[in-house]
Formats: sequence, structure tokens, C-alpha cells
Amino acid sequence: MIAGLLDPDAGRILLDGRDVTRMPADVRQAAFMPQTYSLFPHLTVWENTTFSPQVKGWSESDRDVLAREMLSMVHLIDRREAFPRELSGGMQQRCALARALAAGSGVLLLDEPLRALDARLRIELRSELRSLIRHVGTTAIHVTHDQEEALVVADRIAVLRNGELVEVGPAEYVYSHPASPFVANFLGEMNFVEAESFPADGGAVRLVVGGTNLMAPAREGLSGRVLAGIRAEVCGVLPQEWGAGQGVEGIVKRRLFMGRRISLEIDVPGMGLLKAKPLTANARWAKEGDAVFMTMPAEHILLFPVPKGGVAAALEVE
Amino acid sequence: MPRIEALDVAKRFGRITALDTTSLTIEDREYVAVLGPSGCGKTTLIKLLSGIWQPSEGRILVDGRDVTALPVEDRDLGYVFQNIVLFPHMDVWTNATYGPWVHARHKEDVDHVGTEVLDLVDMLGERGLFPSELSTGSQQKVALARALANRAKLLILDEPLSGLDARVRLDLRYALRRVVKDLGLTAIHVTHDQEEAMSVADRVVVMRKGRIIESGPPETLYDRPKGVFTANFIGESNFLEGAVRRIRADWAFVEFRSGYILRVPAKGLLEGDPVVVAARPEWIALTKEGFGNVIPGRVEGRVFLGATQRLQVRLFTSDLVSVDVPASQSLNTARDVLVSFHEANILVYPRPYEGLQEALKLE
Repeated sequence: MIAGLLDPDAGRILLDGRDVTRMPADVRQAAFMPQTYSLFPHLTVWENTTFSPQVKGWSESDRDVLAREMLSMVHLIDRREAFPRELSGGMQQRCALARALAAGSGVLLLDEPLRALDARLRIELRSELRSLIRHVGTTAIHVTHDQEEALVVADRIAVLRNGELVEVGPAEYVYSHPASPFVANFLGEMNFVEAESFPADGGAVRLVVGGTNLMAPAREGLSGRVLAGIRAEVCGVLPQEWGAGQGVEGIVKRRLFMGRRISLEIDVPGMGLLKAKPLTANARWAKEGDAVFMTMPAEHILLFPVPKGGVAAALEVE
Repeated sequence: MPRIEALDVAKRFGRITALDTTSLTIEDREYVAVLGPSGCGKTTLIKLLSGIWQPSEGRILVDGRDVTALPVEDRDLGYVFQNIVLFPHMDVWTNATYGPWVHARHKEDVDHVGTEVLDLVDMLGERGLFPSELSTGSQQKVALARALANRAKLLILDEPLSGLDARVRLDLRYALRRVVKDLGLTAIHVTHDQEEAMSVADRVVVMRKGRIIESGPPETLYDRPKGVFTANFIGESNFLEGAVRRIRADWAFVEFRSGYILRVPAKGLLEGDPVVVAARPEWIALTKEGFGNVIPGRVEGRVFLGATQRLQVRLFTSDLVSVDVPASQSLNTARDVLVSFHEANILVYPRPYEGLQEALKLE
């Protein structure tokens, strides 16, 4: 709808304060870059990039200046004579970006721009995309299903669920103050348990769950029975006899090495299977069957009202 | 009990080499992941191993028997593809037991196998549902059950999780590994996803440009990759180019641009050697101590990664490095920092003759 490819049934869309709701896509100042890039296969990188300025009737010299600038920016100026099929996936993406930028729009709309690429290349290009867009200084809306990609590229994240905008805010804020269990879980794997909460000193609450006491930051307007959540990646493990700080004891049921981190599933009596994703350097020793102490730093515990339809339904994606 | 050997196999299409002369042995009951960027030859390799294609050169042995010319349908293997291939008009049970049924096994036999394989993938409860009623993750589980139902001891997994949602992918990784280990199968799993390869396999084979460049257990490949490409391809790494200035006892002193020096283990190095020093973002840290293995720099950017934050630090050697620090670590307003490289967490490589950028290229 922002691009003008679909008409809204209700409401208006403004670009720089100007109502563009009924304005057709091709005259809006919004450039849409689809997943598939849609480059013209029979045109070179240069011709693809100058396509839109040419259609708009720019003079040849203006077009040249613009195309040169855009292609330098995306590091494709040396490949300006190449056809799309001669380019790697990453280069095609950069060419599509140059073309979108050369359209001279105020807004860049990116629909899963990295989806078609290999996992490792995606990691490399998402940082590049961020710095490119910063450098150009344009407004960008980037659609993705990849949480990490969203955290890395964006100034602000909008989380959508079932056609509804459930939270908008800076990445760090949404991550540390999620509005709902759904948002919390979507931005990084969470452990949830129901607990009884009791007021404690210093803006804290004491949670009682399965016979264990855990301290957590209080949340205004929330008392009694609550849903407590903590992210797997902030939970660490220690050998059980070294157990120190806040945490729970359990047995490692599953261990998956993932490189930077190790993913553990820990069976905790009274709480069920909990997940921890410590950095490899801190948890290399932990093996399946080991008795461990799983640390749960108080400051990372998030509290929510207990969802009426159950936790599973509150987290469901589809 | 399949032990697979590829002996000097190659696949060429006219002047194009899809797979250069390659040898690989996969032990019985081993779970091997073949990992590499698009176009590296990994798909070609499994098509040769499974008999879908014939190699242009070389031989393929299964348990010592030459099967090079044996077509795929005559080989004893299960195959799971990226694109889920289920019969849409058949329910879960009929899809899973299709193989045994076609081979006209006894009904009790078919029932037994069907129950076992659907139980293994945790889909017995959905036996009466049709593919369209299942999520894509569940569909892929049924495809896996069907591949297992033939009782083949060799399982070929061609990007089996690539079409699935991120979360589902994580669950299925574990399911795959468990099934392969429980049944004592030999598995060859092709993927472009580093994390997936590391978490499912006993051994990861890294390919690039039609060749195998190294292979080893996941933790070894991550901690001690043999080459710069692997160091960058599996996980991320920072690279600094320098030269060995002098060697004293067990230590080599490597000098970088602007005269900064790091101490590294001297093993295998000679004075004057041009080298590349690699360190992962989580292996280096900011320090307040002005001595030891440190290089000063200035923070140029910061990316929030959840539990950690990644700092982009421009070292005074003019190299830009990523340093992962806890998200809770606050940075003082002075953005000048000291970056500490611990000797135990540094990898040293000869500088590639084709240049570092070329040696790291992903495509």
C-alpha cells in the first residue's frame, strides 16, 4: 500500500505530509525493490540503473552523473557493462538497489531483499545494506521474517502479527520492553513459566515457581499470578557444584553446537524443559546428561499477565 | 552398513567443471554435512554419490563394492529433497508407507514399518491428515519418514531444511540427528547454512569452487579452521594483514600497519613471513590495560545484537574490526578503546598468494 501497488480499504497514506493514497505507484516517490530484484535481463547494469531517469526524460548528462554516483556507491561501477546473468546474487542485489536509488525516490521499500541469498552472504550483505542506506540518507522500509536481520539493519522495528501492528520501537527498546510474550519470543527464543509474584524491596518482586524463588524487576500493575519470561541467550550454565547467583538446577537433555553459541535444553524439576544459549567459550564443557546450574540474571526476567488462551496460543506465529 | 568412498571423482560439462577431482570417505554410521556457497559443487557431489549423475572420472564404492555405474533406483538409499515431495491426495500414513507398499511387503510388515517411522518423526498422531492440512515442517517430517521406510542404511539429505521457517528449522535439526543416530544410518546432508551443518553433523566438509577445501568435526572447524576461507565462512572473523618481524622462543611478533605488534604462537612461522591474523568478534575484547596484546582504536559504530552488541572499531592499523561485547557493557563517551587479542584466541595463516579479499570471496 505504501508503494501504491494495493489500495487501502480505509485510511490514508502521506508522503512528506502529502496525501498519496489515490496516487498510482509509478508517480509516487517510493521505489519498490522486490525479493527477486526484477532486473531487465537484456539490459546491462548501467542501462538497468539509468532506466528510470530515462523514462522520466532526464538529459543524458544528468543520467550519467546519477548512474555513476549510484553504481560507485554500490561498488558496481567496474561491472557497468555486465548483464544480470553474469553477476553473482549479491551483485544483482546491489544493482537492484542502485536502480531503486536512481529512481530518485524519497522512500526505499525493500521486500525481503536478502531472502534469495546463501546464509553466510546474507550476514555479510545485511551490514553492507545498512551502511549503504545510511550513506544515501534515504528513508527505508525493510520487510523481513528474520529477527536478527531486523535488529541489525533497522533504526526502528515494527512487529506485525495476523495483520495487526503489535509493537513499534527502536530495536533495543522492543527487545528489552516487549509489549507481549509474542513480541518477546519473536525477537529471540524465550523460556516462559507461570509464577506467583510477591512484592519485594527496591522495585523488585519475588517469584515463586516450582519451589524455587527468583527475583525479578517489578512491572507496574502486575501482581499475583504472572507469566515470567527469560531469553535463552542471557541464560548461562555452570557445573552444578559451582552454582552461584540466581538460577535453577537441572540436567542437560540436548546439546547442539552452533558455532558462536551452544544451544542447550535443560530439564528443570518443577519447570520443565528450559533453553539456554550461552557463548561457546563459557559452555563448551556441558554435555548431554550433565547436572548443571542454569543462571537466570534477575534484570533479564520479563513479566507479563498470564495469557487467557494459554502460552502456546499467545506465541503462535501462523 | 554403508561406508561410502569417492575415489578421484570429477564431473565436467564440456569446459565447465562442476566438481574437480575429489576424494572423500564417509564412514559407516557417520553424519556428514557438505557445506559451501552456491555453485561450490556440493549438489554435484551428492548427485554423484547417490547415482543420480555419473561421474566423468573416478569411482564410487559402497562397502568396497564399485557402484559407479549403478543408477540411483538400484541403490539402497533414502532421499529427502529441499522441495517437499508428497502425494497430495494421500494421507500421512499412505505417503509414509508408499515405498514398502510398492515393494509388495506383507500388510503386517507395512504396518510395522509405518508405525515405526512415523513414531520416529513424531507424526503418528497425524497419520490420517493430508499434506495440505500440515505445516511445512510437519510435511518435511513425513517426507523424512517416507525416506526411512525403505529401510535404506544411507540417507541423502539435499537442503532438507532450507524451505522451512527459521524456528521450525531449529527443531528439525535435532530430530534429523536423533533419527540418524537412533537408526545407525550413514547420512550425507547438503546445506549452505553454517549453523545447520555444525549442529547436525559429526563432520563438516567445506567446499568451494568445485573442490573440498577442508573437513573436520564442527568444533574443530570453528575453533581451529585450517584456512582463511573457512575461518570467514563458518562464523565470522576479523582479519589483519601483517608480517613476522622476529621470533623469540615460542613466540612470533607480527607487525601490522603503523608499526603495531601482536605476539602470536610461533609454530610454523619464519621471520619475514607475510601472514594474516584472524580472530572472531567474540574472541577479542576491550580492555583498560595498556599493555599485553593490545591495539588501540576508535569505535565507529555499534550494532545491537540482543544479548551482545557488536562494535565496529577502527584500529590504528587502519583495519576495521568487529568486537562483540555484552549488551550491558556501557561505553564511556571517549570512543578511544584498547582492543585486546588473547594469544590463545588468535589464528595465524600464511597470506594467500591471490590476496586476502579473493581468498575470502563467498561467490
